[in-house]
Amino acid sequence: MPDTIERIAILTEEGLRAISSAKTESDLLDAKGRYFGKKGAISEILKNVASLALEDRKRVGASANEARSNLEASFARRLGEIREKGRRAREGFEQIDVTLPGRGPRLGHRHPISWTMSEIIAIFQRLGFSIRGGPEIEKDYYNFEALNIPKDHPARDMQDTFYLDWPGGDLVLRTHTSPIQIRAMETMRPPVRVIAPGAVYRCDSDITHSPMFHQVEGFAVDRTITMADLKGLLTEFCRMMFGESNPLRFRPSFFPFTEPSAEVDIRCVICGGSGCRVCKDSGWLEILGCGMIDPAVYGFVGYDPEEYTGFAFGMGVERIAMLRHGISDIRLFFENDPRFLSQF
Amino acid sequence: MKVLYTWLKEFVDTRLSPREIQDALTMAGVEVSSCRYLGEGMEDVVVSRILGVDPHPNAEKLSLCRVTDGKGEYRIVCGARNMKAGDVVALARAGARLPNGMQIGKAKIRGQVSEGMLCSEQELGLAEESPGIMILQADTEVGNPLAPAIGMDDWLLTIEITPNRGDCLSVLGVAREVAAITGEQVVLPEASFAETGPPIGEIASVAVTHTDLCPRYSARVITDVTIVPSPPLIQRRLALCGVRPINNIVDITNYLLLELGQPMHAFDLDRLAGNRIDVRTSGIPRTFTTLDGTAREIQSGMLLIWDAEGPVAVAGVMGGENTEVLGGTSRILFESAHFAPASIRSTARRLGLSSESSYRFERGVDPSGTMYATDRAVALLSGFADFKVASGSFDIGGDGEYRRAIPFRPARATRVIGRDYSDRECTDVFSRLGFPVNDTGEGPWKITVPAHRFDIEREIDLIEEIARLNGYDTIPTTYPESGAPDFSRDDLFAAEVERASEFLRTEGFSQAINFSFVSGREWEKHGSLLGFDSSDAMRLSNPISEEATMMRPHLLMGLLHNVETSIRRFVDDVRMFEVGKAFGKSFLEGHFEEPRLAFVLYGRRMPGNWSMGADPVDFYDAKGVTESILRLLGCESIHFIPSLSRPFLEPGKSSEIGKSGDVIGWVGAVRRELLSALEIPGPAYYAEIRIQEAMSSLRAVQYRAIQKFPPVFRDIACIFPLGVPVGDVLAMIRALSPEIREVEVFDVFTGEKIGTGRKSVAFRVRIQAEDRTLTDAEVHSIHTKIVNLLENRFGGSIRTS
Ligand SMILES: [Zn+2]
Repeated sequence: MPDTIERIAILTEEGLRAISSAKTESDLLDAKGRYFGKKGAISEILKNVASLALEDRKRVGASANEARSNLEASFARRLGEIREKGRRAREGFEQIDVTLPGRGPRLGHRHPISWTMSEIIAIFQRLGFSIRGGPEIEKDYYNFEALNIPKDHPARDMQDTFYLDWPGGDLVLRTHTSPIQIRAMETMRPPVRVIAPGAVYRCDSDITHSPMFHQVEGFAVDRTITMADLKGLLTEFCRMMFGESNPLRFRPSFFPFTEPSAEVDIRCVICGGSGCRVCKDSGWLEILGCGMIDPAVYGFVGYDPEEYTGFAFGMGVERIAMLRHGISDIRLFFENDPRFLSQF
Repeated sequence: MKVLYTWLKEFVDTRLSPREIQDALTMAGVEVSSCRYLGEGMEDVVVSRILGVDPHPNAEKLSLCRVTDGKGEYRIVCGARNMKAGDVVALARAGARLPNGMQIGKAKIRGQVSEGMLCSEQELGLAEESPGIMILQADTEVGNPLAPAIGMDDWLLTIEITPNRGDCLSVLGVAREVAAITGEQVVLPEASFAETGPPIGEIASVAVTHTDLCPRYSARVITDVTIVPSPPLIQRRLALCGVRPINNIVDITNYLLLELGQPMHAFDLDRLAGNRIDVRTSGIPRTFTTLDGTAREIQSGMLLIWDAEGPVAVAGVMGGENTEVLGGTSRILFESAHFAPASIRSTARRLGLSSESSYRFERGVDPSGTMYATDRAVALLSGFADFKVASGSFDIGGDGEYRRAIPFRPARATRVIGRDYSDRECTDVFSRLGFPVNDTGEGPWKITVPAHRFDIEREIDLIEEIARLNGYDTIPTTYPESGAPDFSRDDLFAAEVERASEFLRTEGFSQAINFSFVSGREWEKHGSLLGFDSSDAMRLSNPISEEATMMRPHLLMGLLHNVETSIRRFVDDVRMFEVGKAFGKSFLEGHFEEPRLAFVLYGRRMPGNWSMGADPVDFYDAKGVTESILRLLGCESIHFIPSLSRPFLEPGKSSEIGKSGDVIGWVGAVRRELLSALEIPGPAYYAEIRIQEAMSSLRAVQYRAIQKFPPVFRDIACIFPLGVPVGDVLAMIRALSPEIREVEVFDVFTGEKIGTGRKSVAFRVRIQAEDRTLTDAEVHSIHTKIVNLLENRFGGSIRTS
């Protein structure tokens, strides 16, 4: 602790010297940044004061504050001198108004959905996943049947499906990106690690549901993949997407094509967990669904379920974008109002 | 689905509080989306008795009530008409706060003091509307808090059941789930009664033709019953769980549906032709009226319940109008059956008719519980109604074996989940679930799964039970194979820099890569012009050549040499950028090294463009590109400060870029002396950005609601002294009023017309309010504020055209 006080004294002296020897405004700002700016050495000391014992906290705090006000006074004095000198020096030059806006391209804006989607994709690409696509007009077989959702099964109620007016009647607009799992596994042998982004459709429309929206699906199959691996991967993903310290939890749930299944909740980014309208007072926000690929699915693609295990996960891009940007009405995404787009 | 805490406690006497149940169930996969205390807001309301009702002396429509809560006597002014002396009522005394937020105070109403309020059901949040105040049962004890007196000292859990867990669509099912979590015991209530009526076979008959679609059909008959409303407890529980009370018979079937998850149907036995039941599919399409009064188009293959003459119910979906229990009904046949899920779902879907009953049958109803449910119904009913129970019962398919034996390997659970599960942990879970385990010591275990768990058919289903009931939070977080890559800010940094680079390439800049070491000799030759004392530079002790002796303190010289080379190769328009590091000695850390993005701009603004002329680039071109880069790096609220700080830039034509006190870069014309030293004939512009400082605020953009009210635009032209910084003018106009949304400069000129030493600047201002359309007067007042600012603060004079 006495070390800290001594260090403050040394820093003050160094800082004062740097200020008085500054020849230009930027030298001066450099000195401020190093010693008493927001990330300066003295500010760092002040930031860490809270961890000290009460008695020490008072002494160090007082000493650091005094040092800072000393330095600030000296800074202001020197700034005046330099500016005055500058004004005198500039009088001899031709001057333009550098504060006038620049000339140049008017930048366009990213759509927040594609922004969020490309960030999600980038994270999984870094984690070793490759991209696969699939058709949006999909066969009933891929969208349901092969994902262990037979006809006349209540699980079909989980998604309101658009059907195409087509002979045979087995074409649907895909209700999720999961059919890409089947299509990819039909043509690949393990190990596979695939991410599948794209538009999906459900017959539903209100402020949190849009008839067209976007998902990112991901899955991995290999000899030794476990649910613990799934937890590890998604924990890493959430850390990168929502920040280092935001807690998350895995909660058992149900999807016909995974077992065991889970939903992942993150600590509510709006209220921090104390409960609000967005998280319906639970303090948690559901962010994605996942699970171990159901052995029944392997039956459809000819993988041996005793030999291979794998996981799959899927998330709604709009939902994540809404949370990141504080957007409460999903319909805004599809109105393409320039006043909306220009904010991103 | 809704479940009452007190009802749940009848099946499992759990130590968990309602909130704890909410958390525990949610974390076991049965999501409890809300948990509401029903007596909320009734804490301050007491059961009271009206002693007398007198007319209000000054108001015809009001009454003066004298009320007692057993201790004191209160005078209450009341606007309702449905009360009389002796009635037991709900009294909110002054100071109370009601569920709807209403604060009760002592008030004088038309000259009469009122010491509180007599509450209606609506005010207490018990009904959508109510005709008068709430009148309680006459025997309710006066002086007690209201909530327990009316059964509202309870909690209502709202549970979201996934399609695989049809077994949880009942109080019993949820109780089993609680028991599986806590290890507590589920208790099935007694269901016994005396059979005092005639033998059932003498008054009714039951047959099942299609046993594949109806594996079990249980029934009992009661006679001599009177149809009346159910007692309050039954009615209240039904209503709170979303079912409308009708009469004692219909209510008891609905009560059992909610309690045991067994849909039941009550037929008026005397309206069943031939007093008989047959379960079989419809052979031909026909029309049938269900008890909601709708004529349904029955297709062939749909499973129906028939009497001797025709259909009387759509099996498992809805009963028929023709055999409905009515006021005069006295003999009832209770049906409690198990129907095949797919058949019910298909019928319900084709009829477009989903009922509480079909919803449960689709998801699977416990075939082993049908008989118990009828017995429980009769037993419960006997507690509040008089009737005779026919002796015996029908139970077709009652001898079926509905349990399944499934192989299970603990090692497989470990392999799928990635956590070691001991034999003990596995047997514990199975025992809490009530799944008997048979471990012979050889080969997989055999787990016997009771009939109600429709979702458990395979080993993986058992593994899921092990995982969820041991808690997902006990599963470790590992990473497939090679271990988790450790990403940092650097990854993000790389991506953002790549975006800015892509932009520069699109804008016609080529990327240069120069050596990090520069010539110390050259540096010394230019002396202070380079703005960095060479003694502050990091030097190499064994340079590869005389031209590469020190680490560059900024990126200018490399790019400037690139321009020089280009010109010598007859390329007269140069746009180049470089991403690289600057190095030097520093006060604190000893030395620094810092990533920078720099570009140089030389020649014509639009080379090779026939329509735009051959104007040379100027400061504002360089500034425009710089602003774009900063925006791409997510850098906001920056300002440009005229300065002399960088000697390598022309004073008067260069600027520092500031962001909350930090310098994050500089932009300007390259100093003439340097250009001539390198024999570069025309002006060159240069900018350098300290990337990390510029990027330091990395928060997702927060969306601000779009303005709904129309904007007003105002153009203002003003003549200023030449030295007035237009950027400052813009900033101060914006700060004048929150209604000023945008200020744009659309014209600047100097010239004889306005006199030397002066410039004319034209602004366009967008004025818009968040919550209203602005009036002319408001717009005018804002306009006046702007004009005053321009004239008084900046010495401007407004041009009128
Ligand atoms: Zn919240």
